[in-house]
Amino acid sequence: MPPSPGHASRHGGASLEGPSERTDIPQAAVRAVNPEFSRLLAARPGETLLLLGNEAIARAAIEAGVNLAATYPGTPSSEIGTVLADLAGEAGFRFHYAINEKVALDMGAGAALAGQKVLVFMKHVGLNVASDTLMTLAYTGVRGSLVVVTADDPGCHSSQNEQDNRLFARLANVPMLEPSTPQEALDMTRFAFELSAFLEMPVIVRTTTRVAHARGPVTVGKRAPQRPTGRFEPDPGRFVMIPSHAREGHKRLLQKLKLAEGISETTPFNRVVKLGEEGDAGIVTSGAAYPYVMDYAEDLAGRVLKLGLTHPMPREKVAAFLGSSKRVVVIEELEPVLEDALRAIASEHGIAVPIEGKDRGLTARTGELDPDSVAEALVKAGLLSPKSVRRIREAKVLRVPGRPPVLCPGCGHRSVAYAARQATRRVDAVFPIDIGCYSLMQFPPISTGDVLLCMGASIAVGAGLAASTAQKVIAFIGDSTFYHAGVPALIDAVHQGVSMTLCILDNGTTAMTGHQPHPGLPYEGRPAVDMDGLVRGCGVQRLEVIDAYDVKALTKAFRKGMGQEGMSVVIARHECRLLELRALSRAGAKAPVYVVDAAKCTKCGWCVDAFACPALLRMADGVVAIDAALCSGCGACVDVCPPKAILATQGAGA
Amino acid sequence: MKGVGVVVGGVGGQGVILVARVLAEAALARGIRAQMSEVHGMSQRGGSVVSHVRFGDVGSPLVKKGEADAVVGFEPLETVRLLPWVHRKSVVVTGLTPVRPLSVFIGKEAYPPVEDLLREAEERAGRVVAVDADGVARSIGEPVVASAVLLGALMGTRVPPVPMDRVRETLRARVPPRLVAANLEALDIGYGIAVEDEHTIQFA
Repeated sequence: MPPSPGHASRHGGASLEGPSERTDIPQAAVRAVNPEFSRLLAARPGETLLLLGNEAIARAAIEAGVNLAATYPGTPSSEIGTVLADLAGEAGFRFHYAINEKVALDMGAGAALAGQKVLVFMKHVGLNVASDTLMTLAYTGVRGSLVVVTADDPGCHSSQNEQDNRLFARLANVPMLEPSTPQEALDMTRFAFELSAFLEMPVIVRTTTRVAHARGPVTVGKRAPQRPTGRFEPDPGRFVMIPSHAREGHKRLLQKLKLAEGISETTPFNRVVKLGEEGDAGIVTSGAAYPYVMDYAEDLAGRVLKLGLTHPMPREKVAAFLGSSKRVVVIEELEPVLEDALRAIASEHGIAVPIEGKDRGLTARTGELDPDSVAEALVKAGLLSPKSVRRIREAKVLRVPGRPPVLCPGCGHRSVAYAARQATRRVDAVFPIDIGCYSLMQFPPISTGDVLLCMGASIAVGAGLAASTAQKVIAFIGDSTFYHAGVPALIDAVHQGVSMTLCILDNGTTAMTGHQPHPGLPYEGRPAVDMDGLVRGCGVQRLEVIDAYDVKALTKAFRKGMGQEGMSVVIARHECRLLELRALSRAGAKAPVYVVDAAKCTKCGWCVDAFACPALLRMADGVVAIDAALCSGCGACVDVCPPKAILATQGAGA
Repeated sequence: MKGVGVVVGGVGGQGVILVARVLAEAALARGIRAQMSEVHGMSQRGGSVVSHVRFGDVGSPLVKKGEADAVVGFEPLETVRLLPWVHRKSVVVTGLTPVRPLSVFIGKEAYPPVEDLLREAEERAGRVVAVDADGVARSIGEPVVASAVLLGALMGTRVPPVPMDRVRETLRARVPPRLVAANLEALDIGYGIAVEDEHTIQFA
């Protein structure tokens, strides 16, 4: 039985010292296109497919004739990239997994300034990173079309905050569309390409988790031709944003926004929908909240103003709606964006209609809406009879243990965190962590994670802590996150002479979002940007590269790092076990099977209590056993077991 | 059509999304409007996963609490977690093999007895079909087809407004070729279990 690659590096040459060539990551083979995505590409106009909101956006971009699509992966936007990366070759556009969202948008800007059709997409917090570009790109505008998709995450399903990116459209003064369903995701994204070309400015499409990850019937449309290879025509007054030009750019932007408002007045994306019965109440809503309201359409009286092009607002249409309603209720997720706009419009037009929403607590400013909370809001507003809502029986459901996500069996992050814990047992240490699977290291019993803010923050937050306390700092950052936003912070910390340890958790992929590539990996024939060389290039003098499963060597390296002045970097390298197991299975091989020698097990329980790999089972008598169905064969637990009772067997699985 | 709602839940990796998707696609292939919701991201790391499927001309893809016609829990704890969606006439299809959450295997919390979890379901729903999906899958020789057993059992309750042959065809197209036979066998066994279970109730 061939050993897993992890074992080759572990037992073949102990830990690696100093910089090394990557040998653990296979050269990306030419990818086979997912047949499902081929169907998405081949679907004929008028055909109806069951599509994810994100897949509908991908199809829309192809229908629009996109020349370039660029992103940095992030939930809930990632599947747009999964589809487009796969189809780029076949459909003949360029797809780019960028190092971060700002670079994606900059690159998109370049292409769009040269007249190309461009899609740039990211999760909501990704737009924070790209916002520096967006704010000024709004002034310059573009010559082709540039559509920016932001996928917001109300309820923080997989994000560090739930910011409402509708406010970005207002800050940047660019148009924004908010689809409610996968069909609208397609229709609005296509429209956004046209609107962007017409106004010569970027246009934002904003989804939320429940739209991006809803799957519904989508009727696809015709494919428009792509733009031919572009040529950039200089126009310094428009494209070179020195102060004198920028002042003019700002004025031009506001003129374009006025034009956009005219379109907002007439587009069928902003429309009045009649409810079950006649009535003088008005409900204003957008995005994911609209279908929830419509769930109760039969039991409601009055009209709904369904807003799709929500910035700029169709002020006249809104005023007419307000003026013809006796009372208005706003149902929207997160911030009172529509509500505030409605009040401003009512005030400008001297309309005295009562407008109710977040101010009355009908819906919360936190978390996501669902049909239940919307029903509650409508009942509270007096628009819906409590009788038409099925009484939810008192939630006296048995309280059962929660099930948060955990690090997978065999995850290299577990052994690295364990080693850091071992190295700091009698040390006052702080562990800033970063964005990725390893945010799960903060759960007990591994409990390694004291601060988590946003992409790349671990390093400079760590430097701030190290410079301001007598505590020892070990910061953790993943490989993809290091490339994304860690490099400037590392250079800065080195240059400042801060004493701390940085551990780069290099699992050779962007694992959390579905194993996308990053610049540290060879991709479709393009060479990798070597991480070890990059770290040294940042001025780091002490770098150790250690296998992520080598608990002993890692513990030693962390101890050493803490005892020294200046920056110590430990790269804990081992390919994501999920990818490694897939590769093994493709090769027809199996990982080794580990067992506990029950005679040697002292029932101390240390492996379960301190390491907590899900494959370790504490039996009724206190002896630990390994669940063969869960064990990934990484072998990291061997060095964790005090009496050395865990051993590999060549038996069963081979 | 007033709309039929099914909520499917389990542990990341158990096939929750697959089952929901087969249901929705089979419906669409039959000309029945279907929508579903998925939550990706953290859920794939062994956390709870829930997917809603709604058939018919309805507004949103989410099922309201207390309004699911059927709930499918792949794991007993996850079944209980879905009980807020059931009403007195709902059908609950549940797997029986516990998967311990982190808090349980590190000894912070206890896993409640499976009988207690089943009783909780029985008290709240109209009918509970408890299926040893993992046992059936093991007997077929492919542990991964446990999800198809549960899908079959759901179909056997006749709640989804989709014909079984459509579901069979959709499942066939959705699973890897080498697992087609095992999945279809699992689907049929699951279907049989639910039908037989109903029979038992009627004549008990």
